[in-house]
Amino acid sequence: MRFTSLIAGIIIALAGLPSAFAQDSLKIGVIGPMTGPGAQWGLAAAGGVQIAAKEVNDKGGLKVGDKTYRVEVVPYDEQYKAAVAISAMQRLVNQDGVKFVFGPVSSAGTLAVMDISKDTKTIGITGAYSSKAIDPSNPYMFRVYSVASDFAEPMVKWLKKNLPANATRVAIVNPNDETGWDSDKLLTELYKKYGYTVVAKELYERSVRDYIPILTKILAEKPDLLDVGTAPPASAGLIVRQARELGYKGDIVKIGGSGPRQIIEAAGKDAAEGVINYLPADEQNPAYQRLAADYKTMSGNEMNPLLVNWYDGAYILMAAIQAAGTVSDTDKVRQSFAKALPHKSVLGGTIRLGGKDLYGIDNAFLTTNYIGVIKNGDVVAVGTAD
Amino acid sequence: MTSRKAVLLGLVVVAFGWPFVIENRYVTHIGVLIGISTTVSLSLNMMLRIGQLSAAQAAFMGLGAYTSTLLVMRLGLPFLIAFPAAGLLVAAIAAVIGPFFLRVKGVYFVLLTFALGEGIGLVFQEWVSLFGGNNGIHGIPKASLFGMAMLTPRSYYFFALALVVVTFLVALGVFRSALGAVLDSLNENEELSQSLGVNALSYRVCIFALSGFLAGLAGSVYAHYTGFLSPEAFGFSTFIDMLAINVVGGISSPIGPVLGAILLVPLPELLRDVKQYQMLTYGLLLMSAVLFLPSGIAGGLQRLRQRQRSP
Amino acid sequence: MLALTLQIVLNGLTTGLVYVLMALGFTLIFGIMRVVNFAHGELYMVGAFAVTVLNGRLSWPYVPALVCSVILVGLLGSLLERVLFRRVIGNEFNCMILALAVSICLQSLGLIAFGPDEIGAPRPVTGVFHVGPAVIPADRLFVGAMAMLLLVAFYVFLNKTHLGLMMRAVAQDPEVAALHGIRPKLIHTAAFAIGSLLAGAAGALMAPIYTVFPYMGELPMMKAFIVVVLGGLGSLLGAVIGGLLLGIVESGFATMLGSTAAALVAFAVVVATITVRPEGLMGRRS
Repeated sequence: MRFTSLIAGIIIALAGLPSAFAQDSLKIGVIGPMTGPGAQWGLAAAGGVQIAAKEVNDKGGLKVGDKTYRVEVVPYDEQYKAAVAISAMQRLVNQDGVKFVFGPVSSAGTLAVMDISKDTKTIGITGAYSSKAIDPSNPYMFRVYSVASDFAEPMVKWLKKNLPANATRVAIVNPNDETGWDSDKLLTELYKKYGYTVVAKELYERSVRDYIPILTKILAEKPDLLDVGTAPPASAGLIVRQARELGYKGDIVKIGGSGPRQIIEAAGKDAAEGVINYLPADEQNPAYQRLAADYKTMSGNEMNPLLVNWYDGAYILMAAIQAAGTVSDTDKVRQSFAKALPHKSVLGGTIRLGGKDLYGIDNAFLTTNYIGVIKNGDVVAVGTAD
Repeated sequence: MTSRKAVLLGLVVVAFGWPFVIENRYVTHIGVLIGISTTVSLSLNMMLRIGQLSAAQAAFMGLGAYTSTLLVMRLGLPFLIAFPAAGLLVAAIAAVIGPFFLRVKGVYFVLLTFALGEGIGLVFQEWVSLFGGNNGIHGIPKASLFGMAMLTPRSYYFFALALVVVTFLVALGVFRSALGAVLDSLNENEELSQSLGVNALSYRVCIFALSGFLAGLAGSVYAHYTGFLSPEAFGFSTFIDMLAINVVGGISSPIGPVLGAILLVPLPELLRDVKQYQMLTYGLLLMSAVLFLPSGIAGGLQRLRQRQRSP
Repeated sequence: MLALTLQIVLNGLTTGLVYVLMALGFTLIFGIMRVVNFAHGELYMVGAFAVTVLNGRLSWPYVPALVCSVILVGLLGSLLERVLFRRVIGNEFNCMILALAVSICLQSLGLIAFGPDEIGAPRPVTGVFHVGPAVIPADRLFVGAMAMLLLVAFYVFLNKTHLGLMMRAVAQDPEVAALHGIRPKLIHTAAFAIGSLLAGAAGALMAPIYTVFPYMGELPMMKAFIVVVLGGLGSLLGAVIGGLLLGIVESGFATMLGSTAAALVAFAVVVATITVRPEGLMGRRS
């Protein structure tokens, strides 16, 4: 039995080893799903922040006041589970001494760590789509990019202008979770506002892969436009493919989380042809391609366009830290975002600080909304929407 | 006192004392998780002792968690009432379904409780107005004892630890008492026991209700500690965790789940940096336990002691 | 209305046939060895990845890739039995835990080897058929046809071959079978191999239908569970009837009421079946 106490003691001691504390290091945390569903979004967050940090370090470090800091990125996997996001946040704040965290990427994770962020005054820059993520009750939480509530209306406007005038029947599909409900409500309102008739709406369980039952129901209403909302890109791809198999010939749009490559992978080149996406970035832009090459060298994988937003977000944070003149006073830093923005994105567009009208507090980074169309197995930006 | 009691006492002293030596919130956080895990694993252990593998324990924990949360948030009840109420509600549910479910043995009972657990999980997901659906409930108020709110991980740690101690003593007591003798005899030869007038079913229902009660209490602590609930926290993978804790730690004695939890709960955190291999390590550990140490660490230690005793 | 019903039934039959394959393998392993094979879903996943790699990455033609994948999973099953399960046979509880451990390991290995992203397998069969007003994708029809072929082959194996007859004898009464000189170890390996083969075939056939990723076996595993409970643990006819029934009923519920309602009903049916009639529709009281 003494053996047991020994083991217990060793394990507890190992876990309690203090992490090396470098005087001139600025630690930035990243929490996102790095394995399992949603992994490409978490990896995009980590990748963007890491590339930005590397660039700054290569140029000598981040100069704040009269000290120069080496930027160190600490990424943790939330596995798309709220409880794991909480553990990750605890570890970053209490064990690693981090004051600035990118993420959690998931909405559930972000809501779960709200209290920790507020209580410990840790600045969070989240990727959550939920409208509850930005709230006046926690001024330390920001969002790194435009979300559906920001770009949905511009996109619907764009659709109205660019699709045939007689195509007025729209069907909306969303997953059955909070992001999906928000999207369902928002899209229904917006489509009605711009003169569309919402002929069918469906909410499906996240684990479903066979959409033929719900598509059968939807397509019976003969829509001209099918919006796959906030369905995860791979699932959206399956919906696209199965819809085409069932004979659907109308347009397909995704006003929600972006991932056209996954759509192409899951749907196949032919079925995915013509699908309209929200794009956070223009892949033909030379700066984009430079970033994609850097990412490929670093990780061996294809870059997700969202990485650009996290990359820009990292530079915005660092600019805010410099404007505040401190790496530890998070109140000063959060107030300095108003000075760091508007910021010129690496792709050339302008990122503004906003959100007061929608969320009650100006804590959202509003990024450029690109419209992309899948053509011949690739995605092409055809314009922007505002 | 005997060496065994001395060691147990030593363990208790370490368990209560170390947070004052290692003042680290993250480590204490892990401690809280270990405490909660141990309690719910002990609840499963009780069922395993009567030869029934209940795959519904994680769902029971969830029921306790949501009940406690709703009682505090919707009805404004204090934690001190919500906490036991959560346990009692789950116990009541177990007592009601017990007589039907416990007629069934072996693998059928496992499948049955598995279906029940999944069904409860679906209800958590679908009854959105009550349980908040897939994105759950956040902003759960902190637990408070007699007007003092528990704000630090350390306070929760001691509360969870107290819960573990009580659960451990109950588990020990139940199986050492006359009740335990009855249950053992049922395990050995049910027909013979029944011929002696033992009502097998009602004894099993008792244990089932007790295990539900403890799982519910653990759920309540979990809810008020993390401040956030979602259905996935009480699904099949959580059940696997507590099953692994029992298998690796050892089933035949309550100390088994304690050892199992101390070993397995910190593991994902220690392996965070090699996340891909986390799950693989888990699986290999489980496999090794079944193949080489079927009675778990506790059983292995027991054999070691017996070998030391006999010359 | 007719069109919708027809569509529902067709959808249900094609999905149901795949459920039958999964359930058959699962119930075979249980019937012969009393092992609840929690790793069955992962065998499905291995089959799917095998065909994706052979047909996709290595550009083998489809049919050889399919056949090879199926055989591969069968071999994996026999390996698992010989090396792992044989050591804990007889202890139902430990077998269950071992199966869970194998499931976790296989999933992790899949994750490490292929990453978490959903991969598309090449699609050898494209196009749709029109059956009256209903639409049925040609690839699903192909899967349904292949599944039926496998079922027939399995039936022939069980009833007309020596090994099959021996298996049935062991399933009925292992002691008497041993008295007749049938070596249980051989039968166990064969049962696990064939059960795994069926799961792998289901996975390999389904690979082009959706996407392929390490967690893809979880849902089919769940379905196999439900079918087997419904049809009776150990009953092969029960697995067939249960699979088709579940496919159609599920399709109906999912289309009309949503997939959650379908899942809830399925679980309620499981609970009801086990409490009222644990041996399922077709099983025998053990």
